[in-house]
Amino acid sequence: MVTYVIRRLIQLVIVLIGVTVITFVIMFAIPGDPAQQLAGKNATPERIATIRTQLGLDQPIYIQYYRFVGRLVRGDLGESYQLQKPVLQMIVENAPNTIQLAVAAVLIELLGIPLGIYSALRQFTFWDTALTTTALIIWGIPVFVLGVFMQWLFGLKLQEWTGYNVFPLTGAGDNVLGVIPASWSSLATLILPAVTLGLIEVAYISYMQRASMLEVIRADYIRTARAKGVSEGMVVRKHAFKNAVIPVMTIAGIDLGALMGGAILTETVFNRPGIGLMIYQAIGARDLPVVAGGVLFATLVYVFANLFVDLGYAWVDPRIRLEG
Amino acid sequence: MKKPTRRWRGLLAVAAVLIVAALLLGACGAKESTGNGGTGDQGTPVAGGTYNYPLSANPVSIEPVNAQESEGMQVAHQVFQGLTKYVLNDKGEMEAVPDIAEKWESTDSQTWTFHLKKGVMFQAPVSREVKAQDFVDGWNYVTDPANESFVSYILAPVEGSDDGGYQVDTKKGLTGVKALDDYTLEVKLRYPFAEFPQTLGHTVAAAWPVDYAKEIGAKKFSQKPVGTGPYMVESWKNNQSVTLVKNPDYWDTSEGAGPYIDTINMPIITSSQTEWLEFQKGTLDYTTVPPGQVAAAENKPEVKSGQWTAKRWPTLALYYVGMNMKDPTLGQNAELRQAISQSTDAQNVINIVNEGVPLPATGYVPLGMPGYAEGQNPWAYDPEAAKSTIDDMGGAPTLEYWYNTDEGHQKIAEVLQAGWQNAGIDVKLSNFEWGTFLDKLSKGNKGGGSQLFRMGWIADYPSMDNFLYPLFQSDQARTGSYTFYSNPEVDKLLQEARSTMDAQQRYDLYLQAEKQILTDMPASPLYFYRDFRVTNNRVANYVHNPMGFTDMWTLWIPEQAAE
Repeated sequence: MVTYVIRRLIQLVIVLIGVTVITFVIMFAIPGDPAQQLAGKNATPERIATIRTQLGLDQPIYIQYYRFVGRLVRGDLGESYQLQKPVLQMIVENAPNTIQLAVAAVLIELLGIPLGIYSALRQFTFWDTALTTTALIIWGIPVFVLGVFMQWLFGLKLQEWTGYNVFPLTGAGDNVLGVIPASWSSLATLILPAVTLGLIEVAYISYMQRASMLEVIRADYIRTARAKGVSEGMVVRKHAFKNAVIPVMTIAGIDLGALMGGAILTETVFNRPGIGLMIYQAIGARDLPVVAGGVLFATLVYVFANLFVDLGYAWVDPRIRLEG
Repeated sequence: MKKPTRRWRGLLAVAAVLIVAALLLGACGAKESTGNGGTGDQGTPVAGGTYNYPLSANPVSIEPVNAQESEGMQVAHQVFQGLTKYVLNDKGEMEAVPDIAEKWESTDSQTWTFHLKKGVMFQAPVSREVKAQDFVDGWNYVTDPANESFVSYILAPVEGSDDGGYQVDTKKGLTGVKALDDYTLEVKLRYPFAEFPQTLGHTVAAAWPVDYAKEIGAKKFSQKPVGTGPYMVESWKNNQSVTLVKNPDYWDTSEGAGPYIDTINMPIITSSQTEWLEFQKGTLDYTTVPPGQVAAAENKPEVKSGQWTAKRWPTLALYYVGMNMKDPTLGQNAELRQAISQSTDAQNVINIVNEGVPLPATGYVPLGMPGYAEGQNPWAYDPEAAKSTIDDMGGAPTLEYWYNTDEGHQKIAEVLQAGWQNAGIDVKLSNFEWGTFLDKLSKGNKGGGSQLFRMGWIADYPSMDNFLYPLFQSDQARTGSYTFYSNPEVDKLLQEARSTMDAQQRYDLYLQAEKQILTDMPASPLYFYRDFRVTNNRVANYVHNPMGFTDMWTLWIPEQAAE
């Protein structure tokens, strides 16, 4: 197990190198010059050249990358071109809201498990068809469209109809212990973005859970259990569910990392100050250190989520052995 | 497992019907009424309340050294004051009037003497009087290249500065600015410039306590800067919000000087869709609207009932079609350029692409500029005349039109292409990313120069000079308008205007220059931008001036009187 973890951590370094290289190449490939943006419209070519030199942008991409990595190993992610603030500080400030959002979205997406089981146990009935069709439709909705719809329905119209401002459309509240909403108003800012991000995954999880359950429910040991006269409830809870939920939990775990991507759009729509909004704004300003820092953070979350899922998998299912 | 019972199905059906009915009611239920909206009750100002004004991006900076884009400058506009300020006069033009300066004089438009008001105070915690030396220190600071100001070019006319607004010799500093005594500031310019006071309402030239900023550190100062204005920065949470509060010790106690509203809450909302929804929810008092929703916003019942105002506010900005005068085909063929201008269908572009918001441009200098005159373009839209010119020429060569990669610019290019096609001018469209686009435009006729291209210009300060000189003066036209236009007669007129102290005579000279440039037609003016904004009439006296600023200290909330 220890060897396995060490091997995964070594792989992590390779992944991080790959991710930073790709981020650098993409940021260089997309149009726009940060020096020109910073210099303003009336800047002389000399001024733009000076800024380029100050930021090190006059160097070839590999030199810039080398410098970036050099700083990175010393724990320095550099400074934002635009805000002239350490990127690490920006990540520390913004991460709690994103972690909160991703965790809340994962908790919401777990609703897909009972829905999937319900669907599987009623295969080909009206409710099974209704649930799977709805899941497919929701799964196909882009997160920014769903986000605006949620804002309109629950943020705007609900207030018009009831007179109560239950769900704020934007922002984030104060937290305690870093990531726990400190008040109802703080929690209220989390609900709509988390439901938006989570709902699409509910659809996905329920679909996966249904498929997994259908496979398990037809297994020999289930038939044996039923033949022995075990009650249907017991068969489902004790035998089928435990086995059918393992692959789905894996997906949910990995989703914690994958939701970091969805967070960019969700945080932009809901104007929620987090890593996603930070990356979005930095891309607009061609602020490479911030984009690279944000992407690194997201990658770390993704890789560690994967690692914990793998470790958890071995723990839940002792048949799986993690080989070093 | 049980199947869903009939009772449950029935309940679900009822719930579904209720939801659908509620949605329909929500869509149709808003009360219908008629009437035109205004910008709020114009009664007697009352103090108190909070004004909710969103910023569409995190400001780059909110203090004089680097406030440069609309968000940062809007914040700085409430906090800082300069020697002059811009007010909207009765003709709807932005005029520079004394602010911290009481008056100024110059005989040759090259050496200026500004007399400062006494009793102008910096906000707490500095709380000391502003002296002429503060301007000397501030201007020296922003023009020092070490301080990396990106807006110092506004001070480029001052002696000791280069064209980019940076000190030629940092040891000597900005030699042209001197405090003759505590309340007298002398400014020597590198060249005569009669519109110089018009430039000094820009934030970069504002008064700020350099000594205090150095004491607490530039970074700390940039987060919570101190000026002399009616509002103070309470907090700036990056990417979240800026909060301003009323300056309790505001030096200007004259009637109507304000401020009235206690707090200005500026949440940073990057999505215009979200901003528009927040406005409708009542949490904002001002909003832009997302693309494609101008008509829908204008038809909102709240607008018709006068609860909100939806308005197109003129701004000092121009969109034009440039023509490369170094191109062998276009540069030597005035008739072709005239025909292009006459077949440039601005109204169609405005209606099809811009939801009817901008105004067709009648010259280069936009509406709202002091001295503006309508109908300057002798080659205004006249497709028949254009067609007849092209026919007389025996047809036109195929031309290329360049734009920087952007969906909006592409749509505009397509509408323009159709208009030119109707006049018999075939135009091929090409697009490039911004950096490449500028680089290619600056090449002239060397290595594949441009022919026709799109370009825009936004005023740095309200002066005709700010449009005509940087865009069309011979030395500037290469990277100003990218047209490589050069006409000694125009250069002479612009120079003469800069040396003319009498405002009307000066405007006449600028207008003559504008007319001459338009006659030569190196660029066809397409439209003057207007900002479409919806505002809540809960707040009285809202004005969005042509520089895009709102003097928030003049706003008030009538409902505060009832509380």
